[in-house]
Amino acid sequence: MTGHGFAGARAIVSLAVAAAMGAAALAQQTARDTPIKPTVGTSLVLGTVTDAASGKPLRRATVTISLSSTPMQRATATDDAGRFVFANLPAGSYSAPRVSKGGFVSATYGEKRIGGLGTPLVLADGQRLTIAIKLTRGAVITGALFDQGRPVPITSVTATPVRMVNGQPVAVSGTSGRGTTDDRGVYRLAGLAPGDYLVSSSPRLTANGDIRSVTDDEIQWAQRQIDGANATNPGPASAPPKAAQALAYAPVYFPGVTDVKRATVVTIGIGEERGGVDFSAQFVATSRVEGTIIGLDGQPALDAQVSLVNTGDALVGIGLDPIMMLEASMLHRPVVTSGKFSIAGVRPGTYTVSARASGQTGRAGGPAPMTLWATADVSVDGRDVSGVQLQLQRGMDLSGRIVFEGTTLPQPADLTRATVRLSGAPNANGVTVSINSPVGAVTADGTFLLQGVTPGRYFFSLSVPGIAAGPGTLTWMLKSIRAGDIDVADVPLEVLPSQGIQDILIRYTDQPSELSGTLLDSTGTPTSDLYVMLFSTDRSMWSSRSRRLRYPLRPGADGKFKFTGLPAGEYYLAALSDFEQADVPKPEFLDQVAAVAMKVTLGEGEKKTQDLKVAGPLR
Amino acid sequence: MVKAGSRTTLSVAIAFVAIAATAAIAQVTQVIQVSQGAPPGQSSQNAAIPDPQPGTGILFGQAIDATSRKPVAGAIVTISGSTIPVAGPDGAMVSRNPLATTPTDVPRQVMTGGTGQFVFRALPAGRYTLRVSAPGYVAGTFGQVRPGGSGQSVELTKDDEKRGDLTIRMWKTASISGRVIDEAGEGMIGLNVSLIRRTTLNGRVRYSMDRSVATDDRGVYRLSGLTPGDYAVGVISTQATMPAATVDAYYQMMMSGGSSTADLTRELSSSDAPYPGGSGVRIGDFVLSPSRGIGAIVPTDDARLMYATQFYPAASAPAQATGITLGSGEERTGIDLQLKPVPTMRVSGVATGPDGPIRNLGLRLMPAAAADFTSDTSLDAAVTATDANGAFTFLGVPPGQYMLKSLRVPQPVRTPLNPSTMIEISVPGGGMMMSSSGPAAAADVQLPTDPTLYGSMPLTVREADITGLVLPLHTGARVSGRIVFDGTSPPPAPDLMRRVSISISPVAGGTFSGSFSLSSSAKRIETDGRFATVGYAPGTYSVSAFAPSTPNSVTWRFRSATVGGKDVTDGGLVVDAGDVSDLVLTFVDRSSDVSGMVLDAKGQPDRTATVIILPADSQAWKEQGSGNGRRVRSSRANSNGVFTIADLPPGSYFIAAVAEESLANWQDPKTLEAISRVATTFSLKDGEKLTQSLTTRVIR
Repeated sequence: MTGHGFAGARAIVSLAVAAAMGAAALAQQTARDTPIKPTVGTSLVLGTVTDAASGKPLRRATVTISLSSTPMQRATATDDAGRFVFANLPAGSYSAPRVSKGGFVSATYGEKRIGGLGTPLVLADGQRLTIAIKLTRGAVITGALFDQGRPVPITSVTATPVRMVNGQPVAVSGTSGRGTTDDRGVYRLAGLAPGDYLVSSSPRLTANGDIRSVTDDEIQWAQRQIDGANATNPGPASAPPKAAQALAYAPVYFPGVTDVKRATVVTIGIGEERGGVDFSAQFVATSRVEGTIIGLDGQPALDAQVSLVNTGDALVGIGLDPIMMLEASMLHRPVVTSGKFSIAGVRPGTYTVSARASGQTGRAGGPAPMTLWATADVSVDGRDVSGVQLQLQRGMDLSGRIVFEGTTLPQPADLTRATVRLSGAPNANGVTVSINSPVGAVTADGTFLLQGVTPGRYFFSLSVPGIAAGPGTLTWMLKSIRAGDIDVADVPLEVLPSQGIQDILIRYTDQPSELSGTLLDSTGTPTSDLYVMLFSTDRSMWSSRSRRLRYPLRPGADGKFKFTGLPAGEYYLAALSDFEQADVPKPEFLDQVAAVAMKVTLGEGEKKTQDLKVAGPLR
Repeated sequence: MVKAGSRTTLSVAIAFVAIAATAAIAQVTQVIQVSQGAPPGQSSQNAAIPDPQPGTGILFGQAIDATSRKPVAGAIVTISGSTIPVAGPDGAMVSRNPLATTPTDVPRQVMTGGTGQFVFRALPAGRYTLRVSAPGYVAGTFGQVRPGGSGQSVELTKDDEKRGDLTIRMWKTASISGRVIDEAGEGMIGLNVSLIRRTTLNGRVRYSMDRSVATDDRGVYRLSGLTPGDYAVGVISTQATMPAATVDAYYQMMMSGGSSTADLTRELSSSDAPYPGGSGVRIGDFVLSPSRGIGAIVPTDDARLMYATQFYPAASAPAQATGITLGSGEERTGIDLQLKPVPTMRVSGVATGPDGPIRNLGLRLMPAAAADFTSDTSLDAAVTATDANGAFTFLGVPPGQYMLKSLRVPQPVRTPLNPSTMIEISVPGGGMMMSSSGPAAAADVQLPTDPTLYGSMPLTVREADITGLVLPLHTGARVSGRIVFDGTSPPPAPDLMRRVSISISPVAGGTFSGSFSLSSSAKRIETDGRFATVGYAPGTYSVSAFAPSTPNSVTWRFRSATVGGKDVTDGGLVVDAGDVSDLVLTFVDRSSDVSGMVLDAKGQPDRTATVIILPADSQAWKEQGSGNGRRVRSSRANSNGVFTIADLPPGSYFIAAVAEESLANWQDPKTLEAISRVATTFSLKDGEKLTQSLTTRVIR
C-alpha cells in the first residue's frame, strides 16, 4: 500500500498533544503481594437497553461484563422493560459492557461509532452505576448462490466489511456476516452494521481431490467401444480421448467474479434488508503436482511427509472462507510412496511444497524426530507440474537458556514443564505459515534445545507454568530474548541454512515497566472521548507482534489509561479521535501519529506516570 | 466396523481461530476425515504377488432422477475398487485393490454434464462400487431401488469387459421449515432446531439425532437435504450449572500462565462435566449456562422460569410429538414452535464414592424419554459438576421423570504418536488455522491407575426442589485378556499388534449405553498380545476387534471373543461387579464364505435381489430382530446376479433371496420370520467356501 492509500480511509485524526502535564513520576517499586481478588463484592451496575431508532426498550438482550484483569465474563439478560442488573460485583476496573441481541448490531457501552471501542468502567466498593445502551437494528444481505442455474447448497457465504481505497476494496475491522446456503442455494446474512461489504463464497465440491467433467468425446468414444464389444466382429479398440483437466470451484465474489478487483461492493444502510444478491459459482482447472524426495544418501526418502501450502495472493483475498484456504493446503492429500509424491486438485497460485523426514527407520522406543527438511516453490497455472525435486537437508539446532532475574518473586518451581516453541513470522503478504513448529523441552536449570529447525523467520512463543500466582498478583514478565545483538522478543529470529544458533538468552523479570496516566481535555478535565496509543520511536519495532507497538485503547470514564509489560526504551504517546484497526501496524499511519505525539522514555522496571492533555477542542 | 483395506484413515483436526491484534473474535473447530495412501515405510510383505495391471474394461452409464427419470447434471460419480482378499503364493489371503495401479491421468471421479452420463475406463477385472452425489439429491450408490436402501457392486470378470447399461437412480432430498417464537411472539434467533429420525430397530421404535440447524434473525429455520423418512422436530434445552467456586478457580489458574488448568479440565472432562471456562449467568453460588440461543434465564427475581425441551408442536418427548413423514423432494413448511418458559426446580445432593465425596465430578439428568433414543448424547435436561466437597446442584430442572447418572472413566496419559505434519496459517485481518495429519500410529497408552466410577438413580421431579440426594458411585470392573492369532500365516509384527483396535461398547438399552467415554476408553496392548483396559460399568457390551493390514499383507479377521471358554461374540460380554481377566480375542487368517447365483422365476440371473442370511437358531433374532449381529447378513446380488457373503462365522443358517423392494423394514422380527419361511438352510464349516444357488422368493 502506498502513502496516499489513506485518502479514502476512515477519518483518522491525530490530535495535537500538549506538553507533559506534571513531572513523570518514577513510582517506587513495591512488591505487592496482592491476595486473590474476591469474586463477590458490593458494587452494582444496572441499566437499560433500547432500540436506537424507536427508543423502545429491548427485551432478552444479553449483557456481558468482565473484570479487566480476567477473561471471566458475567452475563445477564434484559427483562420485558429492557432493564438489566449486575449485583454483587467486586470493585475494580471492568471492560466496557457489551450488549447483543439477535437481529441487532452488538454494541459496547460508550462506543462513539458502531464497532468502536467502548468505555471501561471503574467501580468502587458499594458504588451503584446506572448506564444506558442503545442498539441499532442490523441490516440483512440475502440472495442465492447458483452453479449453471442449479442451486449450490450447504456452502458458506461471507459479507466482509470493506472500504474503498483508490477504487479497490480493502478489508476493515468490523463484524463479518456469515451464513450457509440451504438446499435452494439461499443464504441470509443478518445483524450487519451499515456500511460497504464484499459478498463472497468459496464453494467446495462434495468430493475430494481430482474431479473431471465428462466430455462429449468420452461419451461418444465409450458408446463406440460398447457397441464394438457387442458387435459380432469388433473392430480395433481406439485410443481413448484425453480426459478433461481436473476442476474445482474458485473462490467467487458477488456478482460472480473470481477477481476481487472486479467485485461489486454492496452498500447497506441501517436496518436495511437487501435482497437479490444472487451470484454464480465459477470453476477453475486444477493441477497435479508431482515429484521426488531425495534423502541425505541420495536415495529416495522412505519416511518423508509432504505438505503443500498456498503462499501467494490467493490467501490474502478478502472475505474468503478459511476452510477454503485450508483446503488449498491440507486437503490436497499428498500421496507419498517410496520417495515419490503426488498432489492432486491444486488450484492456480503460488505454493510451497515442503517435506520432512527423520532419516531413520525402524528405530526402537518410539518415532524418530523429523529433523530433515526440504522445500520448493511451485507456481501452478492449471497445467500439471511434475519433476519437483525435494533434496532433504539437516535442520539446524538452536539452544539457549531461560533465566529469571528477580528480587522479589521466587523462580517458578518446575521449569521442566515449560516449553519453548517457534512459530513462523509473516511473509511480505502478511501471511504466516508454520509447518511443524519446532518445540523444545526445558531442563530444570532452564536450558533448552530446539532440533531440526527449518530455515525461516520465527517468533518465540513460550509457555512457562507458574510465572503468576493468580490474577492481580505480581507476575514474571518476559524482558528480552537475545540472539546475538537482537532482541527477538519483538522482531523475528532469522534462521539460515547450516547455521545453528547457540546461547540464546531468554530473560524474565519481576520488575515490569509500565506507563500510566490520565487523558485530559483542553480545560484539564479527565476525558474518555479519545483513544490513547503508545509505540516505540524505533521504526524497526513497528510490527504487529512487537511488545513496543500498542494498539489504541480507550481510557476509563475517569480518563485513566495504563500500558503494562513494556520493555525499556523511548516511546511515542498520542491521543487519537478515531482509527482503523487494520492501519495500526502500517508505517504510513504510525508516521502520521508520530508527528503529533509526545516522546516518553521508560527505564528498566520503571513505573512512570504521564498525563496527556489535548491541545484543541475535541471533535 | 472398519473395512479391511489398503487405505489408512487419518484424522485431520482443523481449528480455526480468528485472531485480531487485540482480541480473539471467534473460534470454530471442525474435524474432517480424509483418507490417505498407506503410510510410507510399510512395503509389501508379499512382494511375489504382482499388483493388477491396468485393464481396458469400461463402465459407462447415466445418473437419473428416480421419479422423473430425467438425467441428473452436475452429479459427481466416484468409482472405488473393493479390496478383495485373494490367495497368495503361500496360500494365505492378501488384500488387493484393482485400482491400485491406475495411471493418474485416468479419471476416477467425474462430474456429469447435461446428459447425466459418466464413463470410467482402463479398469481391470474386479469388484467396483459407484457412489454418486449431486446437489439436491440424496447421496447414493449404483443399484439402489429405494432412497437409503443398499446398493450393489459391479463386477468385471475380465480385464477387457465393457458395461454400458449402468443406470444410477437418485432421489431428491426433502426439507422441513418453520419458525420458532417465544411466549411474546418474538422470533427466537440463533436457536438450534433438531431433527430427530424415527426408525424401527430390533423391533422397537427408536429415535436418533439426525442434524440441527440454527434459526435466522426472524426465528425461521429450514432443515434441508433430508433423506425421505419419518421425523420429529424439536428444540433441546440443556441447562448447565457449575459451582461458581470452580469457575473462579479455573480463571485464577488460567491467569497464572502455562498449562495449570490441565489437571482441573482433565478431572472434569473425564466425567463429561460442563466446561468451566464458559460465560454464564451467576445465580447465587452457581454459574448457569444455556444451550445455544435458548437464553439462560427469563429475568425474574428468583431465576426460576426457563425454556424446556420441546418437540413439535408442544410435546416433551418425541414419542408424543406429531411425526412428519417426508417423501422424496417434499418441502414441508409451517412446522412452527412456540416456546414458553416453565417454572423449574433445583435438584441437589452429594456424590460419594468408595473413598468418600467426589469433587469435580460431572452429573447428568437425562429425561426418561432418552431411553427411546439410539444414543443419549446431547439430550440431557441438565448437567452439573460437584464442588470441592462432592456436593452438586442442578439449576433449571423442569418437572418430569429423569435418570440421574454419573460416570467417570479416567483418561490415559498418551505418549506422542508418530510424527505428524502440523500446519498453521494465519492471514492479515484475522484468521488463523491449524491442521495436522499423520499416519494412524501405535499409541503407547499408559493405563490410568484411577478406577472407573459409576452411579445412577431414577428421579421424579415435581413442583418442588429436591435436596439431600446421595448418589453412591461404585468402582467399575476392569477387563483384560489376550489376542490370539489362529492360523498358518505368521502373526502380525509387534508394531501392528499394538495397533489392533479393540472395541468394547455398551449395547443399547442399558443405563450407560451410548456413553462415548466407555466405548472409547483406553486399552493397552502389549507386543505379545496381552491387553488391559480401564474399568467398565455393569451392563452388556458388544466386543469386537480389528487388525490393521498393510497393502498385500495377510488379512487377519476377527473370529471370536470368549470369556472362560464361553463365546460372547454374539451374546455380548456381561460385566457385573467382578473384574474380567480372561477375555480372549481370536483372529483367523481364513474366511468362511457363501456365494452363488441368484435366479429369478424364469431361471435368468436376478440382478435386483437381496440375499438375507439368518442363524438357524431363531432365538437369536425372533424377539429382538436383527440387531447388528454378524450372523444376520444382507447383501445385494451384483449386477450379474452373483452374491458373495464373506467372513461368515461357521454354523447353521437360513438363506433366502428376496426382492430388494420388499425389504424396507427387514430388521423387523415379523419380516425376518417371513423370510425364514421361504429360506433354505445350510451349514458352514471353518474356512469353507460354499457355493449356493438361490431362486428369488416372494415374502408376505
